[in-house]
Parts: sequence; C-alpha cells; structure tokens
Amino acid sequence: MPASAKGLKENFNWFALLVTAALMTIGVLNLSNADFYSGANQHKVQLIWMIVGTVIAVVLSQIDHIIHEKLAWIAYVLCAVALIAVSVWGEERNNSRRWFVLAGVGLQPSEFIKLATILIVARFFSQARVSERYTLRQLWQPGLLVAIPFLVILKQPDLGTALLVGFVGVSMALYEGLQTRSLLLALGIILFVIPVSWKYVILPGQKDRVLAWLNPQVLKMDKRNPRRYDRTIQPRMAKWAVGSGRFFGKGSRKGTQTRLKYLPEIHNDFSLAVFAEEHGFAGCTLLLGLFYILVIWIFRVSAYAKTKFGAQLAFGVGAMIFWQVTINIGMVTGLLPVVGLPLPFMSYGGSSLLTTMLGLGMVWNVSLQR
Amino acid sequence: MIDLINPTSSSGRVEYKTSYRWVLIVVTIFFLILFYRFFWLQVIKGKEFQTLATISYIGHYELPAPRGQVTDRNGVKLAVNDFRYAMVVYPRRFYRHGGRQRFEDVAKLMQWNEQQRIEFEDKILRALKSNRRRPVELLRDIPSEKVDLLKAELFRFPGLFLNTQPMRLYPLKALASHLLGYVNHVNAKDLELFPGIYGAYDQIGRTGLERRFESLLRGEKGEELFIKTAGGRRVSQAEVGAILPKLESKPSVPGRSLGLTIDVRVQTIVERAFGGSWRRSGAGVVIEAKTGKVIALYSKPDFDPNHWAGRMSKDLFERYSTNKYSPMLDKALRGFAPGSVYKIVTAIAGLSEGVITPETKIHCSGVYEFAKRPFRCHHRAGHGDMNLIDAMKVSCDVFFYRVAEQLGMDKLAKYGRLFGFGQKTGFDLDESQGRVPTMAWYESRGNWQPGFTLSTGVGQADVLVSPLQVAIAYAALANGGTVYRPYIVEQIRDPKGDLIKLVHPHPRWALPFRSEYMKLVRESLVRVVNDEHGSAYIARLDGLIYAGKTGTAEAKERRSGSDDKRFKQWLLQDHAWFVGYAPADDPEIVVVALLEHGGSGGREASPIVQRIIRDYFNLKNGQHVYLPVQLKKESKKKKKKPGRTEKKTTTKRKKVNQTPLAPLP
Repeated sequence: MPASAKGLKENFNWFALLVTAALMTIGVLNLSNADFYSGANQHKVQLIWMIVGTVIAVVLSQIDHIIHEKLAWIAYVLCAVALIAVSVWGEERNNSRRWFVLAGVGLQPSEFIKLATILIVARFFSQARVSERYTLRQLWQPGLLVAIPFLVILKQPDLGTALLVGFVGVSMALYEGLQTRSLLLALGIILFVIPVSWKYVILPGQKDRVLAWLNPQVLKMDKRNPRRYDRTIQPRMAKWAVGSGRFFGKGSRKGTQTRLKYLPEIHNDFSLAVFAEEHGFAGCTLLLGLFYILVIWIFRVSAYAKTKFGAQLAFGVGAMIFWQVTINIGMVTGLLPVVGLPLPFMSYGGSSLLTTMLGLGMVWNVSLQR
Repeated sequence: MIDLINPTSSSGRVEYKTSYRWVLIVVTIFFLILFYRFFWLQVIKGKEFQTLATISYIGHYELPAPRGQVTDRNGVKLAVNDFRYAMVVYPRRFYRHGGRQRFEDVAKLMQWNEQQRIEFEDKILRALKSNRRRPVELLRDIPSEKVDLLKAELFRFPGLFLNTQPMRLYPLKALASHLLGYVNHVNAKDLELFPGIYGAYDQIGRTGLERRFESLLRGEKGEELFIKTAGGRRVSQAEVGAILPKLESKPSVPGRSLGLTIDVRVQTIVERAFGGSWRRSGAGVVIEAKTGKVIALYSKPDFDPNHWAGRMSKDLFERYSTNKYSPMLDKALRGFAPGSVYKIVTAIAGLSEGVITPETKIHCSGVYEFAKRPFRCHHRAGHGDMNLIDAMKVSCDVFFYRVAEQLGMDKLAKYGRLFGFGQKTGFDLDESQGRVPTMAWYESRGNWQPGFTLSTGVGQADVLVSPLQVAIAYAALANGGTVYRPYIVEQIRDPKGDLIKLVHPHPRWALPFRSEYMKLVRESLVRVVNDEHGSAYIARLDGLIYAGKTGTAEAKERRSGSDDKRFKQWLLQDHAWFVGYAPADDPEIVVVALLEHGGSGGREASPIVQRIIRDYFNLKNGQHVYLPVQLKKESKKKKKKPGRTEKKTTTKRKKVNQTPLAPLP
C-alpha cells in the first residue's frame, strides 16, 4: 500500500505539473486573443511574468519549507507595511490605491499579503499548543493577523481581494477544526456583521453590483447615472458572451461580443468570458477540469504533508486558488455579484501570477518532503 | 490527535485526512455547481443568449422611401421632395460626461430662450429616465444658417446629430392646393394605426390627392442592417473580418408618381379670374367636355400646402383658423343651392314628359300664384309670353314654376339624377354627393309643402349641387348626351418613370333624351350669352360663340359664433353661378364658376367664366394671355408656374410670356 500510494503520489505530482503548464499556456493564449480583440499587447508582458514566476517557483520548490515557517513573520510584516504604505501613497487606478510602481513595474502588495497571511496563519497552527479543537478565543491571534490585511485591503477599496483573504483565513481555521459551539458563534457573528458592514463599510459602487446581481431591473431604471447603469451591463454582457459560445464556441479570435467590445474587462476579471465565448462549453469543461485537478492535488499534498506547517501552508495555497477560481467563475457566469477578483493564470496581472506561482513552488516543496 | 510537543510530528496527518475528505466533498460540490452553470448558460440557454447577443450587435437603419411626385399634364411638378434638418440627441451619450454644460453650450449656440431650454432639457431628461434607447428629436426644420453653425461645432457635442428629414415641397405653393392636399409628419396615432408601414420621420398625406393616393405615393421603406460596437459605432464588414454573417439589407421602394389632367396654366387662369378681394369665397371648375378630364379645379380662398407640410408658424396657423371663408375646404366638391343653373333639368324634363313643347308659351306676369302664395320671378315686372328658349335666355322663373308644377317633385328628381345630380360623380377626391330632393325624402323629414316643387324647378328649396356636378351635367348636355366620370389622375408611373396605369375617359351613361330636345336647350343656352336680352350678354366674347347659363341662388344663412357685421351681411347674399361651354357648336371645355354669396350670377359669375374661356383659347392659340394689372397684389402669395425664380427680375406681364407654352393635347 505505501509503495503504491507513493507511486500514485509521485505520478500525481508530475501530472499536476503538467496541469499547471497547461493552465499557463491556455492563460497566455487567451490573453493573446484578448490582445487581438483590443489591440493591446499584454500577453507578452504576462509571458515574461510567467517565466519569472516559474523560475522563482522552481527555486522555492528546492528550499525546505520549514525555512518559510521561520521567515513567516518577516514576510508578513514586510507585506503589511507595503500594503499600508500603498493604501496611503500608492498610485490610484480605477478609484483604488493598490499599486506600487517600481522601475516601471506595477506591484500589488495586496496579492503578496495573501501568501504572507497564509504563512503566518500556518505557522500559528503548527506552533499552537491546543489539545482540543479550537475555540474562538484561542483564535484571536490568527484572527488579528487576518483582520489587518482584510481591513486595509477593504479600505483600498478592493472588496474581492479582502474577501478572499478572509475566506482563506476562515478556511484554514475550519481545516484545523473548530468546536461546535465556536462554529455556531462564528456563524452568528458573521450574520451580524453582514448587515452592519452593508450599512457602514460597503461602498455605493459595491452595493450596486450586489443589487444588480440580486435584481438587474433595479439599476436599469437609473439611467441618469450611466456609471451605475454600466454596473448592470457588465454581468449581463458577460452572460451573453458566455452563453452565446454554446457547445463548441465561436472559434479562436471569432468572439463577436468581445470583438465588438460588448464584453468588459477582457484582460482582467472577465478574461474567462473571452475563453468561454470562443471555446464554448467544451472549452469551459476542460478548463474547469484542469483547475479541479490542480486544487485537488494541492489539498492532497496538504493531507499527506510531513509537517503540520507544510499541511497548513499547502491547504492555504489550495484554498486561495480554489476560492479565486470559484468566485471569479461565479462572477463571470452571473452566479455571484461582481466583486473584482482575478482568475489564476487567466487574468492579466504580474502580482497575482507571481503569488500563485510562489504558492505552487512552496506546495511543490511540501509534496517532495513526504 | 495533535501532538502538542512536536509540531512537525506526522501524527497530524490523521486529523488532516479527515478534514481532507470534507474538503474534497466541498470542492467537488462547488465545481459541480460551476460545471452545471456552464451547462445551463451554454447548452440549455445557449441559443437564447446567442439570439440576444446577435440582436445586440446588429443595428437597424431605416431607409425612407422617396415619396412619389405629382405633375400636371405637361409634366410641370406640383409636389416634389425636399429635406430639412432636425436636431437629434442620443440622451445617454449626450449626457454622459458633463451633459449639463454641453446642453448649455448647444442652447447658447442655437440662441434658445429660457422656455425652449426648459422644454428641450425636459425632453432629454425624460428620455434618460425611461428605458428607451431611441434618440430624441429636439428640433425640427432648423433654419439653414443655424445648420451651418451647428455643423461646424458638431464635434463638440457627442451624442448630438443632425438628421435629414424628408419634407414635401409644393413649388407652385397655393396653386391647385385643394386638389393636391398636403402631407405632414406621422404622429403616434398613425404609427399605431398602420404598424410597420411608417418610420418615425415619414410623412403621411392628410388631404386631397396626397391622402387619397397615399398608399401609392408613399412607397415602401427599407432597412439597412449593420454591425455596431458597444459604443454604437458602425463597423464595416471588412473591419470585423469573417466572424460575422453577412447582413442583408432591404432597399426602399420609392413611391409611384401621379400624372394629373390638370394644366397649371389653365389653373392659373382660373385662379386669376377669381382674383379680387371682393370675391371672398367660391370655386371654379374647368373640364374637357368630351372626356371628363379636369383641367382646373379651384377653390377660393386657398392655402399654401407648404405651410401645412411642416412649415407652419403659430402666426400662420392663427391666420388660417380665423379665416371665416374656410380656406381648407374644397368648394368645387361641396354642395350649394344651384339656382337657375338647375333649369336645364326642368326644361329637359318638361319636354321629355310632354308637359311642354318647344312652342308652348307661358305668360309671366312677374309673379305666380300657387297654394295661396306668390312665387315671384326675379324680374318683378314680368317677362310676358315666353316659350322655352326665351324663358331660358332671360331665366324666367314663372315659366319654370309652371313646368315644375305640372311635372311634380319625383319626375323632377328623376331627371335631376339622370344629369348626375344627387349622387357621387366618381371623382378621384372626396366629394359630397349633393342632394336631389324627392317626395320620399320630404316625407321622411315631415316638412313637405307643395310649393317646394316649384322652388325645386328653379334650383331652390333643398337642391344642392357641387360645381363639379354642374360641370359634368353641362358637359353631358353639350357633348350630345354622355355623362362622364370626372377624373384628375391620368397616369400612375413607377419610380423609373414607366407607365403603370393610364386612366381612360369613362362614360358612365348616356342621357336618354331625344336629341332635338337637347339641341333646343343648347340653343337656348347659346342665347343666354349671345342674345342681347340674354342674362349673360355682358359676358359674350368676340370671335367665339359659347353657351352658358347663369344662376342666382337664394342662400341666406346664419352661422353661429360670428359677430362680424360684414360677414353677416355677406351670408345674406345669393350664390352667384355661371356655367359655360365653348365653343358652342363643338364644345371643348366646360367652365363653372361659383361665388359663394357672391350676388347675381349674370353680373358677378359670368365675367369670370368669360375671362377663363377667353384666356383658355388665347393660350391654346399661342397668344399672350392678358392678365389685368390690378390682380398683381392678389397674386403675391400664389406664385405661378415654373417661372417662379424669375419673379424678382421680371414684370408681371413678362412672366406670363415666359411660361413654357407647351402645345395643348
């Protein structure tokens, strides 16, 4: 049994590598198609990021992840300082301060802090001395560590990334195990926080997107404010683009909705819609399958990890990718409100890609140390 | 169990393996949801979304069909197509960024006053509020100097466009306005009534020929399909490559054009013959005696159809609506009391029924006692002994009272109907059928008096005839007994100019009278004009013998709502009629003139017909048409014929000469 299990694991590792490569290829090709439609040249930049990311991932995979446990604090503090700094002095794009520009390269600390948070939370769980399942009180430390980036990112404002940090944090706690009473209490707190934050925290633009998702007719009426109206158009146009792809799609570079610019944000949050329109249900099934395999592999690595830190680290990375995929696809297909979150490998963005690659490099190392 | 001492202990694995199973389930469920969502969107609802997407990028552009032209018998254009500019705003694009300021800029450029500003801005805001994507039309018929200004500044105002809109132009203005009618833009009601036929900027015929032949004139609008981007920009097929299906556009079909039997020169002659401000209201008809073709149809006062086709100012509208003499009514097709013009019916009836012979003499003492009531002749002193020819010549009433009395009401009515009175002539335009009263009609009304028979015999009481009916009846008498259908539309041509339909003269029936009776009546009508005792002797012509009949119909009436003394007095006067045909021996044209409340037929109406006949034959013989100078003022509004651009430089007289005098058919 151990031998065969080991064999499977070994094979699965290489298979996962193949899947990652396939996702990266699809991502770049899809971006080049988006470039074709829009006349931009972003897929080349993405390719460079991909090469850089791969190199770093390979290097990381050879470094014992135990070192990360020791460096977790440094990474976290560095990222947190950068995040706070960027939220104050960063460059404003699309009404949000997220970017640092270093030597012409835009960096997004909010992406990197996702990984740093995973590291620090994993370190907490691996070093905690708790015999039973956790109560909420025992979780004040990781809770605080998650809350800091969550609130700062929320203030940028970047609802999608903030929620993602929260989701990953909560997932990791659940993975570790909570006492039933604490679980219920946590649920109660969340139910209390949602309406309160709706009133005081959520910005009007973000509210509009949620409203548009709940009932598209609500905002349609308000044509006096075209900006608000556009928020209903985005998800609708995405649905039309995805749906009109039908089973086999319209063919590469033959997407009408994208070509005629009915589809918004084709390089970023809605890059999947470009793919869905061109390759239809068949293509989407393939892509979904690839993500599924990748995510399952990561969780499996976590389950079979040698160290507790490794297990939590791998799980965190897996949760990060899983939530990003789920929320982004849900958003593009109209299942969820548009919160703004990139799809790993598919959306353009160096920081996002680098974060994913760094995470995968670490997971790879965990998988090697069995 | 978690090993508390050694965090890197492998004993944690068991714990995570349990969690792992849960994670696996959760992840699989989430991915299945996503998978099903793709399936629902792309496979189950795929076709629906494809349709929605296709609709979203295909734009429609209406191709309006040019309206058919209307020409007279010599090809002179009476109604053509012109265009005007309209200001159109796409509210969302116009108001997107800094719309308010942009609106102010436009308002300043166009020099709108405060009221207009409020009105137009309200229009835009209302369109923004509603869910429609349709452009909003702010202003129609922009003056050309403002168009130039706007065109130069248009780049500053995204979302604002100048649309060209078809607009009917009647180059001869008020000439022949009643028969042409007018068009104006379709309104919401029309769009609802004829779904899919009219575009938002189309025109629709409202009166006259424009309305009657609307379905032929309007043509068929087409539609151009094009591909548009989300921003609304048109994209050429080449630009998007082969990714989209080729779109088929439907070209528009221009309307058919009408060729009329009208001769604008004769129409002008008629119009001028009716000149003079003392002639307040009336109608003139000129038809071909042997075909029923209408050469001229005139109603006074007239109107300029250009005003009604979208160039109407408030001031003008006020002037039209306060005009008491019904400028919009075509009086040539409305019924009036005929007076002595109706006497041919009584004469023919009397002869045919054997009540009188050509030699029968009846004494006129100036009054005819009947049912203890005196029926007076217009000549109070009495005409003495008269036979038919004499009675007709001087229009003796007593003679016809007597004949009518012996005929009785229903026989009179029978002959009246035989002449075409009391029924529609079958003309191309809406007409009233007039009235030939019968016993039955009076019984149904319950106000019969025996004296009505006598009055009917001289065209009074309840007889109503339209000038066109009179023309057709006299044409029948003159041409030997054929009652023709009068018509005005002779040719219908397709857009290429090929003849689709040629309308031929349509004899409806022959008068079943003995020809010597008709000859006798014709002889009497010649005397009316040419005998020195004839009632229209003043209207005779040198070198042309023509026949005619005067009519002076009592038509006192009251109209409510007017305190104008002059107008009230006018209403008390008689209708003045004269109908003539020329030449008397071989009639070519029949001319009818009616002056509503114009006075005596012999004094007032006959000179009009005289002038028309004289000018008509002068024109035909290539001579200059003499037009009195005092008509100049009157004709200011009604410019004539194709030479209208030369108006400023030439004198009245010269202008007439320069009219292209095509030989008459």
